[in-house]
Amino acid sequence: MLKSSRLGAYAFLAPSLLCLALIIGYPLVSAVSASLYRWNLMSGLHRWHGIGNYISILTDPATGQVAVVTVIYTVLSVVLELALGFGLALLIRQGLARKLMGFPLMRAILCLPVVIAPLIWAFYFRSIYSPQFGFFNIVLGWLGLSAVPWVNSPALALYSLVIADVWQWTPFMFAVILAGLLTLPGDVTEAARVDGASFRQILWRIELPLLQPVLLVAVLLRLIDALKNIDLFIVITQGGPGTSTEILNFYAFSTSFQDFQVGRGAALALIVFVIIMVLVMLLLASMRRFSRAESKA
Amino acid sequence: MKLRLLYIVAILSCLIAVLPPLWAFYVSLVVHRPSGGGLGFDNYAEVFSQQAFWGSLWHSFATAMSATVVSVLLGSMAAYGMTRFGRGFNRLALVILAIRMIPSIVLVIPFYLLFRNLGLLDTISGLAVIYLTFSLPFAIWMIRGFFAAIPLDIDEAARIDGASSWTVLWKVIMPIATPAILTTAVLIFCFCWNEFLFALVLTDQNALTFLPLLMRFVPPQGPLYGQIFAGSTIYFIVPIIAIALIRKQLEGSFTAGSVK
Repeated sequence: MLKSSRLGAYAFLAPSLLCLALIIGYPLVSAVSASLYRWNLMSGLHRWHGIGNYISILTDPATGQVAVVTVIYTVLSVVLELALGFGLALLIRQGLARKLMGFPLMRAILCLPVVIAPLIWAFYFRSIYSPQFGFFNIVLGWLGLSAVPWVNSPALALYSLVIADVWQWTPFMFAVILAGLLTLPGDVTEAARVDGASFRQILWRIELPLLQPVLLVAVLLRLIDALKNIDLFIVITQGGPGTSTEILNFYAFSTSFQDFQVGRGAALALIVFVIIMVLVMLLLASMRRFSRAESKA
Repeated sequence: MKLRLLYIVAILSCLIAVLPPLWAFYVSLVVHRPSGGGLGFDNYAEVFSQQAFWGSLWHSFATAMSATVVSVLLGSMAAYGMTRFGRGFNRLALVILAIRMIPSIVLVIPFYLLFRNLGLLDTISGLAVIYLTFSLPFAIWMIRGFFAAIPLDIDEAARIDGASSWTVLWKVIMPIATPAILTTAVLIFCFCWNEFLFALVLTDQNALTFLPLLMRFVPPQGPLYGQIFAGSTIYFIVPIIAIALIRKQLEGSFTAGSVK
């Protein structure tokens, strides 16, 4: 019985597993093999290079700059999203808890940016940042201030992209944290309040520790997504000015499809892959711990 | 917190959230006529008159729809296999979740090289197959959660009446899970609808979807924002309507999925 039921399970799983093995397994193997060649699609050069691509990436002085840009972009975006998302979630929860008019609707409106295609969002911000007719510089003009070269200065461009990322994805953090807050056991906080705990004490001592697993999962999800972001870079800066916004993912893309060095590009893409898979392992581990804690409760 | 302050901050946040799309909507309405500027629907008329716009909308829709249907069907079967035969398949479920997170960049290079050899570049079916790399794992993961919540007694009752597992899945479980599966389908459709990198690299003319089409509205002297935003406004209304339809369901599943 057990054996036949196991067979039954695999009969239903087989189509999906077969499909995934083909469309995930094949490209991964093929990417590894491509990364071992000096391979240029324009010149037709295709020669065995061993781990030469990896060595040249690791020894290239430009790589350090790419790493710094990638870390600044992802960490800064996610930290800001966490802080703002948390604040917004507390705010909207206040309104929802008091059953104030309009708050359910505002909760929905705040989530709107997440639904818009990141590429379209990138065009929004390219336009908002444009030097003469962009929204920001028009507003600065009204206020009598001088225009700011949002994405045209190497010092500012990366931070302008962080703003665009934060603007779109804070709502994601907000939605997840609010959902977490709303499902916290009300009786515990109520008991603390009766005992005279202040709002701040309840937040730091009770709610934050209870929310910690949700926050960890949300932060890891956003880190993974921020590392994968490419639309902003393709549309707004193309890695420039100079190399000031050359994030690793975009670097892999431009090496492969603008310089047509697919061997080196594949090596870079595999580095992105490994970094993301490490984060995914952390994510899965924290989710498991989380579900175990939940089943105990 | 004071009631008034609460409202002010909340409303201000909402305004900030919708500012970029509102700005874009405004830009899409600005017209430059020889007789002088103003607001009007000229950009919309211009975009609507282009064959490529309607073609790309169809390509986006056809690709997203095919990927959605295939992933929901295969995903339901896999989810049934994972929840109905005694074993938990917890580890497999985590592997499937990990697959969903694989960055597109590492897949797009091999697919580009493969499709170039197979002549599958610039086809809707080729692009739809690639969308399965993220939509199928997502479907399995989501539907597995929904199926696990359906009591096994229901299957057993049907089994006693002589139904095979195949019949139980399609005639008993699927109808019960329809709202949840529709939610999953809408989300998958939106992911595919908003996907850019694969579409940019793998389509060109015959299967060009809407988002890579936008890149062609960027001549060297700068993007044609009016037309880009006129098209985008039409484009993003689709996911907004879709999500609005399943909003109640989504908020519910958010709650069910997080801490008790």
